[in-house]
Amino acid sequence: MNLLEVRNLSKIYHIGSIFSRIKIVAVDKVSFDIKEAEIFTLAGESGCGKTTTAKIILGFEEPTSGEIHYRGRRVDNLNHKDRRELLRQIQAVFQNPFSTFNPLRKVDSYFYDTIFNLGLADTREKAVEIIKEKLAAVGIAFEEFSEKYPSEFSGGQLQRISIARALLSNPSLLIADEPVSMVDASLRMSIVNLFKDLKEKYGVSVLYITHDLTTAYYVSDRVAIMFRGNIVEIGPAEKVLTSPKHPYTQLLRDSVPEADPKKRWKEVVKLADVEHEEYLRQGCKFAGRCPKVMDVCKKEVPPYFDVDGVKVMCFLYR
Amino acid sequence: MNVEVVKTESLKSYYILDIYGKKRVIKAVDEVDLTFEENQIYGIAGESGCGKSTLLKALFAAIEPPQRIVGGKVLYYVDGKSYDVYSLSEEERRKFRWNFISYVPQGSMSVLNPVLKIKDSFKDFIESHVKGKTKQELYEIAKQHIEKLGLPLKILNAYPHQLSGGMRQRVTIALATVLSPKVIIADEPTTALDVVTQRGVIQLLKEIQQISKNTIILVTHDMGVHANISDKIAIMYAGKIIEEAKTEELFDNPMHPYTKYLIHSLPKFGDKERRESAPGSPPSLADLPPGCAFHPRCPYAFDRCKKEVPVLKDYGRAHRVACWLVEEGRG
Amino acid sequence: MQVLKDLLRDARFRFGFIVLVILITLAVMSFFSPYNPFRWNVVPRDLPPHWPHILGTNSLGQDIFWQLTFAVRNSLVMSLIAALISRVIAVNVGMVAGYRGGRTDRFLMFLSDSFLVMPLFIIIVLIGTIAKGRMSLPTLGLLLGVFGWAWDARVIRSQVLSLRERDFTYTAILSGAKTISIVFKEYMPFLIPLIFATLIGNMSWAIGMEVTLAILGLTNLNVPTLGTTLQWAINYQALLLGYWWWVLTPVVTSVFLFIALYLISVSISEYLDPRMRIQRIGQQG
Repeated sequence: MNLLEVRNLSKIYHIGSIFSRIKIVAVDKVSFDIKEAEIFTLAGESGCGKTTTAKIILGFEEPTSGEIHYRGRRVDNLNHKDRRELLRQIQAVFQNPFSTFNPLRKVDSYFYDTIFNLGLADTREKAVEIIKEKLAAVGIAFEEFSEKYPSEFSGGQLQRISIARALLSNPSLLIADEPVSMVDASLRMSIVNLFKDLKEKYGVSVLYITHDLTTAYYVSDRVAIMFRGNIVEIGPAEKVLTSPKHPYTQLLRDSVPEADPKKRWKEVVKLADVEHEEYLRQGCKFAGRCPKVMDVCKKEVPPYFDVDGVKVMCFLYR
Repeated sequence: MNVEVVKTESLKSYYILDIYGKKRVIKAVDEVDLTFEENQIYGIAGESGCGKSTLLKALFAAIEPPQRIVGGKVLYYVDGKSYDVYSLSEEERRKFRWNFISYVPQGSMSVLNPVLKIKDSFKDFIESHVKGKTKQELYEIAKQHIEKLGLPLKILNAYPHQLSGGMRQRVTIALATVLSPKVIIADEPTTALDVVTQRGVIQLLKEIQQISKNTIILVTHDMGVHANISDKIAIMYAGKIIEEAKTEELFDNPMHPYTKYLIHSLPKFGDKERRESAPGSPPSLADLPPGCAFHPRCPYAFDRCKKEVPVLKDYGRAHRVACWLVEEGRG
Repeated sequence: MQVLKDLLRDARFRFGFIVLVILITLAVMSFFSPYNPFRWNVVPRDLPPHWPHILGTNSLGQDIFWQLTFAVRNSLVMSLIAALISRVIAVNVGMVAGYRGGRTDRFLMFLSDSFLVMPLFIIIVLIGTIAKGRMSLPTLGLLLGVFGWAWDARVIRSQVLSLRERDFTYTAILSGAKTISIVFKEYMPFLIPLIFATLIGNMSWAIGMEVTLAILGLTNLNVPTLGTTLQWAINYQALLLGYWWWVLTPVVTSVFLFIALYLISVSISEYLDPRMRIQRIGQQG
């Protein structure tokens, strides 16, 4: 059985005033599965719907349509009490370590809150034991951590502390939304390696959300590439990222700046001008920028085609 | 030997804070000697907290308390003459801004006035520096500049919120360069952007440099970006420059242990070998360790590193390094 | 206390604090007054300041100094009641509206706006007229409290709205916190400066209202307050007759009280401002 199943998930926003309402389909019939002990990456540019998908899974937003199943049980329509129960199994860390914690509260208070609210221990001594264990797993000493405010830590430390908090209840699924994009480049690997260890040593699955394909390549088992709300390519990380099939995946991969002066970008890239125009396109949403666009792409929405173990949403593979 | 355009000599810029009676000195820029040449993209690499933003503000002469210039000089070379920026009056300094040297700050998308159309933002900006032009002439200047940079003309009639984040960033860069400055300082221009947009912005900067043959000082912690666009790179750590070399030379032959970590910890496609970050984290600029600021994290640190601050030394091929390991040949 | 020491470094707070301490001392002294404030002709009338009547006496035959002690005490107590009641209402309304949003929010803001738009002054005058000068001080405090919350509720609501979007709200939810707990544990520290600033502002407003109503003769004029003492002075043509000590006492005291409250409010707000507090955290470490 899959750990998490997302089926035809959609989220539509209406923005604008009475005079000019635009319908934005932020998440467009998205479906994917996450297995036990697997690192699954949802990758794409900002605005592609990956964060919205994560928020819906966590219950911070309501889906417009579609279903989410966790271990066979439907979880997209839970009441408050059941949702809190689910928190023992599904946890999350966010992008900005400095805004993750209230600057006026001591960081350890969140740990004690999590432990007592989720019923993980009933005495303070037992709570401290659990905290020490999780802090050790992320490489932070308890003495350095106790009784301190967020401003007394660096970004990298805070992000690790945030991960430790998420691990308190031994969740089976950790959702990490851009966990390293605001962490200094020289410290990123230590956090990304943590995710690898979590999977290998503790069997935790990670839904890794990012726009950085190199770390995605380094750490994931499977990858789904999102573009303006759709998953355009999904399959094993090795295949999708070393031999990308969808033109957008190819663009994404080429645009990653490699730390090698001999591998500079060659073509000038074409970017979207206006924020919403691509969402409102008929047919394939990438048609406006695709170097391999065909007539049919502008009229019809492409279905998924199976190519070499990878699903691609592109007419090129008909 | 190329023509110099901006230079710093032993520049020191600190933040002096007084919070409820306790004094703190943050040594953000500590004895920095850099020379920027014409027709060059000069990259400064360093992580958050290394002092690079302070350095840029000092270069742009936009210092506000509690930031102060505590020592050293910043020199501008204009039309064959050199000017010691901090011995000029504020009025004289103002003349250089945007004409000679311009600044694209971090998160600059919010620089655009949200209630003005882009063309009006341009008009206001140009008007405040160039006198005696009619409204039509000002719009024309903006239009030509946008066209030259390959951006679509229709954005001139749009409001900032209608444009995508990447486009806003590029418009801000266009705005900062409309007066054809000789030096453009870009502070983390692509940090909040995703890779595709980042590529567009970086390519725009390169385009501007190739057209105007001016100097771009690009600050970012992303070594991949530096590899793609910078001609020469300086690595900054804890307020000091610890290594400087031409791009190919730096990537082929990094000498300082910190530089090696920076370059080798980045994962590459096709290579799943385990990579490690530098241990520990950068020191607080208010509380620096004695001797070499990197020594607590350096696996090769020896006695001298803990006591004496290393000085930049030239090792040939325009490659300078500040490290006792390298100086004593123990690398 | 470290907090007090830090606050006293601010000159504004020092001044306001000293004035307030003096006024509170006066208020406390009222318990030791040798004269009953409700009685007339207990001392010779219309005497200028001299020992033992250091602020002189009025045309009703009362010692102005000791009247002042009662006036200060009553005004302070009444304004405190008004301010506290309105805080409680404002905070509850603001927090619930801000966090819940949707229909609850719209309804509460409609209520709040109605209170704002109501001609408050006229209503209170009306009530005062109906009560025919028998309205007691606590009742007045209650009335002012019930009418004084609307503006601040909105201010608190907007602060809560912006806090709700911050990441740490999500962290709190993920830590299993219930809604009430989030609002109190996470948001309160940010709201306290607001609440405090508006509390003092509200006190000033209440005192001002009381003075105005008293001068119009609508409150119980037997009870000495800053407003009623002024009203008596005006009524008896004190200024015209040259009894300046009778008029100046409540006026000068009121002015000092307003200034002191303002200065304290401003300096404490700044001290409690989250940004300043975050800076101070680094210092203690």
